[in-house]
Amino acid sequence: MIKGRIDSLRRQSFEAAPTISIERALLTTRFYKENFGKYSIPVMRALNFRYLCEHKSIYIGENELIVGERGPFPKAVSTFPELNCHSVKDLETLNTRSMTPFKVSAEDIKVYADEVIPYWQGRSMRDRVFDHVPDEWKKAYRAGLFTEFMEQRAPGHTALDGIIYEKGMLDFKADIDKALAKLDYLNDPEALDKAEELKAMSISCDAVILFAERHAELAEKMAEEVLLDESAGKKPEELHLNKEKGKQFCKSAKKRKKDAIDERKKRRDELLKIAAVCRRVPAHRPETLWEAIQMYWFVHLGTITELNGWDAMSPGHLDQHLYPFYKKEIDKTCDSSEFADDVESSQNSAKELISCLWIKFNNHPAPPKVGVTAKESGTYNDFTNINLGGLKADGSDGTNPLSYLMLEIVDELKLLQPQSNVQISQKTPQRFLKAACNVIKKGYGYPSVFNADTVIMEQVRAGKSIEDAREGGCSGCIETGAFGKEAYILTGYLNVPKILELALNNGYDPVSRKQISLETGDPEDFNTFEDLYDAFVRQLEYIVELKIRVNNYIERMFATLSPAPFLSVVIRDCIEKGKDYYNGGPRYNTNYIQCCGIGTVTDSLSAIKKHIYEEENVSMETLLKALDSNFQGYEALRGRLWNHTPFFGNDDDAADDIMKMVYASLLKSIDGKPNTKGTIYHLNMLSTTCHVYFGKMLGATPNGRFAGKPESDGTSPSHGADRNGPTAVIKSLAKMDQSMSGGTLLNQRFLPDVLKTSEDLDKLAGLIRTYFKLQGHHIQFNVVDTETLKKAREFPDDYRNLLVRVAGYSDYFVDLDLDHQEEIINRREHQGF
Amino acid sequence: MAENVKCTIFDIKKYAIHDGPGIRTTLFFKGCPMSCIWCHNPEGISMLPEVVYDSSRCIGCGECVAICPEKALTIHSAFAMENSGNDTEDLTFFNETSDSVTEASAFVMKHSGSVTEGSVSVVKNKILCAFCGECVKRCPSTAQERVGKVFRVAELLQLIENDLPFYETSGGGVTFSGGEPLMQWKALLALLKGCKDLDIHTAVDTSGFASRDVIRRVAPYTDLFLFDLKIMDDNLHRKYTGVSNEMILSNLELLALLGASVIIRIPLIHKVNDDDKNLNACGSFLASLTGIKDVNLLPFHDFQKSKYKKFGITYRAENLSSPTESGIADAIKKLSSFGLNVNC
Repeated sequence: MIKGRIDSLRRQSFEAAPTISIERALLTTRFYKENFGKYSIPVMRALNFRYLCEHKSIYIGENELIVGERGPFPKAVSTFPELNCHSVKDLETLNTRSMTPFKVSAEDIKVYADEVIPYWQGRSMRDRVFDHVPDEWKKAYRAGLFTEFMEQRAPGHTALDGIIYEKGMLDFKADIDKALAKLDYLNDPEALDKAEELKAMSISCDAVILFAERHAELAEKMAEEVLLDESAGKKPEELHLNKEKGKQFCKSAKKRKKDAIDERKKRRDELLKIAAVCRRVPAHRPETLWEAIQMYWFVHLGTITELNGWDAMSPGHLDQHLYPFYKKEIDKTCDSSEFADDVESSQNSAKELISCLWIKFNNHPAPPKVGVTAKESGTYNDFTNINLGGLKADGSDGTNPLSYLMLEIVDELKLLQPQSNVQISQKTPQRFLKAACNVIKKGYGYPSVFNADTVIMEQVRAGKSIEDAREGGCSGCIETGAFGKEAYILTGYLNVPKILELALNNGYDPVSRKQISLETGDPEDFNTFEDLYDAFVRQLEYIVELKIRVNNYIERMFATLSPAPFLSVVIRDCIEKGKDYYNGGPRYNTNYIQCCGIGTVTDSLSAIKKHIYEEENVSMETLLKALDSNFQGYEALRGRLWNHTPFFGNDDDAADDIMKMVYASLLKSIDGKPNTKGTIYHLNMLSTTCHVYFGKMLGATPNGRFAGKPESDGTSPSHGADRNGPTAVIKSLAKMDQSMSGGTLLNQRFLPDVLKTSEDLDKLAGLIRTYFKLQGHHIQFNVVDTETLKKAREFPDDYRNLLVRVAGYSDYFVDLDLDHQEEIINRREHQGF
Repeated sequence: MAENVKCTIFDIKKYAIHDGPGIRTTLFFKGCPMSCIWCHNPEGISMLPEVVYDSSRCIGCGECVAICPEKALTIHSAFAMENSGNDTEDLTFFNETSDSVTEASAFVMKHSGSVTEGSVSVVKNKILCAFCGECVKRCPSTAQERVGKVFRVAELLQLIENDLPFYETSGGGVTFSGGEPLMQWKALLALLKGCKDLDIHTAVDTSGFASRDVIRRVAPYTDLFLFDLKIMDDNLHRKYTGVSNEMILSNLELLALLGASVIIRIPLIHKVNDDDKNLNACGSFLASLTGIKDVNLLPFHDFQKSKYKKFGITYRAENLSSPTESGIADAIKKLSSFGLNVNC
């Protein structure tokens, strides 16, 4: 049970409503107005960052141990007008929309309209991106063929390795000075650019040190004031109660006064400790667990203040990073005391500190998204995803006592953020997997479960060293990367079923009623399934290239106009190369396109193959008419398609071979395409919430899916198409060569009834182990019954706490829009028999 | 050849987690020589493949009527049925909320104007029906459903083998259930042998009502018997199950002598077999058998009731009830006092 400090911090975080803070926007605008043009772009960005660190409000909350907020207080979210300048209408919509609203006052909107908007109009990245893109791209984008991650958020998707626990900002500055000294202006035409970037990095280091010192000053001031604070320790309801108890009152009043003074003294000591910690980190390397956690938090805040990278920063293998500090403290207690109680109390303090960090993540909702971006990712979750377990760089098992402790924290806090996952390798002890299953069965939707061995194989296949791969893992939802060494940029989702729709309509979009793509032939003229498939592949290649062309353009815009010098400090090789995170600085540079709807497209192709070309029980003409009329008047045909077609997810090769064929085509069209950093694109099989948006943009499909309904999510089978239980789903998924991807996502819904006993959990663990033996990448579970979900939809107020797995993350069910609620209710519910 | 032996199976469940150790695949054999009034798999009683009709799924397209080679099917409008005084219970689907996607979409279609006058129901002339299954293949909404399919042993072995990685990881295997799997013992034996060749753990879930010879044949290839023990009093046993328990009890003794691994399953039904007398008799009988220690209690439930309706079989368990929580606890206590490991 959580109590005391953590309980109150948790409650505060849980109950705070997300608001918009215009402070960052105002500061940035003022700074740009005065300084734009005086410095190189990287230095300008770094100075803006320093200006923010110097002038933003500093917040230290009651009871906090780990300090620092991006906004002026918890859940006050900054905007980034230099990337996407919200209009007055945007702000009003954000204030009032029913799903993921952000409160913003009329007064703030007015200030925004007067000061922020006029400056950034036409200057923001978003305006400049949309100014440049070609018409064909706009047509395809509007038709919902793909999304673009970088149109209102910076490329991010970063997780850290252990470097920040080895080096403080002053050490990084020394490294930067060395790199500056080495620059060769004689032979290196880029030397000046590198010098500007390195100077910018150095300024960024100063900025976060300054930011920490301002916290130290405030903490010291608060420490002085806390003893003067008369109201501390009083609880009115207790006073009232005690009055009725007459005599006892005097006694307890005295005691309460003493307690209150003790409490204030205790808080004073804590505040002084906070100040000492903030004076040490991030300037120096951390020595204690407290310092290590605060170090991470300042780096996290730095990266999410500098820019709004998508996804937010992730600490990576936090259990492995913090363990040496934890062990040192436990060992010290063991050495100095023989009492088991003392050891327990040091464990509890460690747990309390880590819990404080957890709550900090939850205080930071994702920056407000609008338009298509809000649809593809409609959540407050900013996708910090903590990896537990896994392997160490040397290949040994990485599970340690903190892995278990953090699972306990996950279980107790039940927060939206941070996400957590367990990385299970063949070396992971069964006890750890079982401990994870014990949390899974509670039904919060996390931790999700990854196959560390496949995650490593994917990276080695993409050319990373085995050690770097082992230090890597999964961030965001399910995306694989070499933590602390790689910029792995997600560029957007690809609507694969929509591409089939184009092939079935000769490049014409039946939803928007416009010709938007290549003419690949009238399908009624196709004589074989292969003819049709060939048209699909030609559409696919056209759309992918269209997307990548624009990606590459935006990528260069970020590299030249909006670099991230602070982020570059903590990612390996950026300093040595003198290059920014967005400009090929990191050791590895990957771009991902996330492919959606593999289930829907497989089932649709399977239906066409069987009914049109094999059994010839329906003509292409009739099918197209049926699709066009959303099966109105074609109910029997729709039933035949839906009930008598081999579908993906049933361990049936007739369908699974088609999935393999589509997957191979996706790989062929995406994997290996060049990005702007001299490296290449890979693919992910992930949809987040985009399958709902893409489904809305898609007409009826040949698998019997009605127009506008969600597509299949991630790599999961179409909803209701898997009819042979979870083992068959896993067998089908395992036929996809997942190590060729940068991640796949499999959702499974289980009835709570299936996970009651310890034996049941063993069987769940067996199911997971089997999927991983077959080299699956990821699996996650929603353990909740349909009745509960339906009730929650009807009486949202009674189910505020109901967390469900959405995509690579969990969300509060009642915060989802009706479409997503429906979608989750319709996911196939597995029973045990 | 053994792998060409055929048998009739009415269901195959994957990720079966309550039929023995680990993750299992359970095959349900069709056909049972007993007729327990509480039977919760009525579709397993008859050995013949059947075609059943679920009106709640029917979209009234008439494709089954058109394709039936025997002309055994006719389509009736719901009003006609109602007026003619036929069983109108089938019509309640109008008010029921449908859970499955198929049902939901069928529901949508009904209201989308494709069927104008109320709704329709397909009626089968059972004498004409030849069980050819053409209607099942044709039916777009799975309202016509085949229950029971004849498989060759080789096909079933392939299906079982498909989930081999799950058995290996979890210590699972295959469970043969029913109906009564021993009733189709030749196929069962071929399957058991086939599984042993593949090194797959085997369990047989049986009523024990089979000849001694059959038990002797299958025992060497069966890693675990899930053996039902219903009622010790023979008269009551005859009353509730239709057969004597003599052969059942002696088969259990035989398995104990052979050293087979056995878990006893007792379907616990209030006022049928949860009385002290029966529990004591069970306990002392089991205690007399060497090596048989594990007992699972399966409290009676009536989830099967709707299946009876679908199969057109009279439901005879209307008056039966589940034991109470305390009744279950007492039964566990009582049986445990005989040195048995009892769980529920």
